[in-house]
Amino acid sequence: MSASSRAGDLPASVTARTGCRLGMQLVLAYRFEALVQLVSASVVALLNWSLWTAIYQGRDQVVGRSAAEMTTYVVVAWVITTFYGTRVDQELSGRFREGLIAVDLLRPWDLHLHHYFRDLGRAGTALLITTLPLFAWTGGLLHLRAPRHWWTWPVFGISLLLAHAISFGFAWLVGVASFRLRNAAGLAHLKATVIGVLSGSLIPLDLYPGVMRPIVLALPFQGMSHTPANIFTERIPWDQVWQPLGVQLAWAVALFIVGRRALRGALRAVVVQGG
Amino acid sequence: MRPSVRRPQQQAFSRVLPDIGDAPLGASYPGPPRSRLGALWRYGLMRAKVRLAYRGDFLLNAVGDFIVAGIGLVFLWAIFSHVPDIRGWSFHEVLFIWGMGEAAAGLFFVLFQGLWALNQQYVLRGELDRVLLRPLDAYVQIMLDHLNLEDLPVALLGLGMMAWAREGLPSFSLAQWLMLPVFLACGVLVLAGVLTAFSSLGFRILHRGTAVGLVYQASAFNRYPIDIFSRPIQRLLTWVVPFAFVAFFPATWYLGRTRWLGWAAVQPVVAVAVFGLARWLWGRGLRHYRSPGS
Amino acid sequence: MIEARQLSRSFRTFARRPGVLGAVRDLFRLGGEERLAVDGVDLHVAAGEVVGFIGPNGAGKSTTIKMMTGVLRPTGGSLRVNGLEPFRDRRRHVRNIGVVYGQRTQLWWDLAVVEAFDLLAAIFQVDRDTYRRRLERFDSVLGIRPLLHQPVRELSLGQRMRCDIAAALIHGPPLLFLDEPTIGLDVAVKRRIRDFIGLVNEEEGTTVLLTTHDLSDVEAACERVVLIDHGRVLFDGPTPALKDSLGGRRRMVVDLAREEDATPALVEGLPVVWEIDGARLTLRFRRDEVTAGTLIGVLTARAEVADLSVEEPDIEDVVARFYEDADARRLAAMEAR
Repeated sequence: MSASSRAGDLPASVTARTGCRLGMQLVLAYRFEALVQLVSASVVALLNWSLWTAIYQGRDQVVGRSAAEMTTYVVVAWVITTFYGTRVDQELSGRFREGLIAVDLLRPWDLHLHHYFRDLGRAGTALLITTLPLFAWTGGLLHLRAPRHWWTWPVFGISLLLAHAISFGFAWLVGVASFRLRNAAGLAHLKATVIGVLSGSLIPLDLYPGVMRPIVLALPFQGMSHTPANIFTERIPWDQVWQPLGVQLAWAVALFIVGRRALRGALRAVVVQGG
Repeated sequence: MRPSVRRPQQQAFSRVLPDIGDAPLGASYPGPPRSRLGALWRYGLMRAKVRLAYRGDFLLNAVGDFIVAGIGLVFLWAIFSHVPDIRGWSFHEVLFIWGMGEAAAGLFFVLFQGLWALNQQYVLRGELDRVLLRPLDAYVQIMLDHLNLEDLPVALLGLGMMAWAREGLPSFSLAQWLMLPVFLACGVLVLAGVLTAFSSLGFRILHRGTAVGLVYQASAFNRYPIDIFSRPIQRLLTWVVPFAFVAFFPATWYLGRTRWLGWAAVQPVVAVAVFGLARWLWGRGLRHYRSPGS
Repeated sequence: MIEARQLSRSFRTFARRPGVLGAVRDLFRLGGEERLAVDGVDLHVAAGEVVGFIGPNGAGKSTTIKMMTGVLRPTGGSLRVNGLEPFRDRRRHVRNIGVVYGQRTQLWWDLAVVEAFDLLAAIFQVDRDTYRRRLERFDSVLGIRPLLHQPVRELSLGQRMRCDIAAALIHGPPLLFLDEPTIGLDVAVKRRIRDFIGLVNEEEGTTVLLTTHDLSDVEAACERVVLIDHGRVLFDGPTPALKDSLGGRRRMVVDLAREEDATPALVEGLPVVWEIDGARLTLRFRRDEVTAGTLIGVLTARAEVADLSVEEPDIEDVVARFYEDADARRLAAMEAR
């Protein structure tokens, strides 16, 4: 069996619709979790904001950013993790561990695409019930700086979508990699923390000192929080904004292609447990 | 396989098996442990052995977690490469608090990783059934199931950071040296207590994820001096989720700051109380366990 | 050994409101409705009994067993097993019981079987000689020796079940719970497990409580059966009596010497359901309404009988019919709501 389309697969549009709907239902089914996430993301955003407010005490600028820009950055960069943060790696490794991946492959849709759309549905629902409420209260209470230009909003939206694609692509690879490991939880934990640090969700990546800066900026993770948050704070001028978007798109596509190949390779190499 | 007249049916059931010859059954059993503690010890040893047996996973986790903890150091360094102090706290001071927090977190992950697995693996998938059928404490069994020696290096990294920070700090008295392990152990208990209390929500409200990981996020802020945060947040970190007791309060004693001395002094008491309360809540939560398939 | 009085357990269920809006509203609602899974079960099991626990899916069997093993806390009534309250005195209680789930292993996936056994022996503080003696015994009946060095996760279902049963008895508990122990097993393993249950009961006097969907298990191994549905006990008594209580009809096939005798007049006044096919007369009757002797007496008086046979009702049939009725009742109840 392979991850690529087979004869008899549903058309992509149907895969997209069913996937999205399933993703939405899953979020709504575990709605308590969404509530927990709302509360706890609020806490972290607030603490991050406080830290940077303290750092700016008695200072106007740190690495060319004003206090308003920096606090807006750290809050936005964290809030959007509730949108792109995916659990597809854990879902995939769980299905594999329980030997259910063979069943999944029998479904009349492309497994990879199906999961992408399913997670998109999850993200869309999370946007409504978690991300937007977070934006609303943090924007109001923490005096964040709203974008000055109307076009920043649509560009930010596109960037978010691409951030989700990168996050999905990476999580997918982690999920597939865990087929060969016994303890997928360790890998998932590692992934979560690596993303936390390398995505720029805690700190703008250009603050990293010396040799680290070019490295973290060259990795795909910067497309998750760093790019969208910099677009939101209008750090990137209008006529150059296509550049980071292009980088995001390139990483998203690259991860998508590698993800398909990885799944095919992994399924060939590993005997499906319990199958 | 050994041909046998006595057990002809084995042919039908077993696949190709290692020949274990005539070794008497039960030869590997060293006899009963003398106490329940001995039984727990053997349980933990077995889990550790299993984890170590998968060397690839073990190394991946050990190296991965170490890097992750190290990146935290880079984060700190990044901030201080742009500013000389945060509200009057120097790099070395923050480094010491951070290192203490990291050491406590490292030990916490060695011993209490099971908290992460509680919802999904034990409550939703019902592995708690197995745990409850043994004459040992359920909580301890779960923690031993997930004994995580991989994170010992993280604890060492934390200690390393504390050692590095000492170059910018006053020297320690004998009492301070003696109290250090106590504060560290109690810091671990505070972390474990807070997260145990949150994990016990998982018995009542079924969801695949867990509040534990998200609450743990907030514990990252025990690595900063709390007076850089606003009043409500300071109260939150002291009274609601008392992460300030993990590292900050005791650390201030070593930094020669006297404002929080009282808080540092009561840290062990707070730790024991928080953990005790959490275990009680956990036990209450267990009553709501609903074992899937029943 | 087991004393349950009005034992009950309710679960809180969350009826989800339809639509996205409903789901968002549910987000802020933590209440729910109570549903009784076990509703006032009275049960007394004496030491040495082998009791079969049957009922349709969702009848409350597993919930009852899980309360008796100390895994679930009862929400009502009283329950004592070996004089202990299973949930409250859990740690002392589990020393007296062995538990096997057909659906899930009690062993550790990543240990070899022998490691799991050794660890269990340590946990239950079994001394060396007893442990060896028991392993020998288990091996002679269940044939576990060749499995000992395999990781649990690589065992087939039948192999795993044999190991699980051995593991459950390693500390020599006087009471054994088996929850669907033969589910998904082939005939040979099934038989072996039934034999083993009988043996343990006979040799050690172990009390056995067994839930199953396979009625041949019950007929083969249990002298007493408890039927439960909607969380209530509907029947509790010796296994053979179950059929009668559920309205099972015995069948009598009578071949008459002369075909012209085969008329409805022959069975007039008898409490039977009848059917005539040529010279063959088939009667169905209930044991409590008329005895086979009476029927034979009446029939031979009215006509010349050439041959005659009596069949007991098939337990599978009877219980299957009962389950179907239970489903129908459940559907009706749902529609009424």
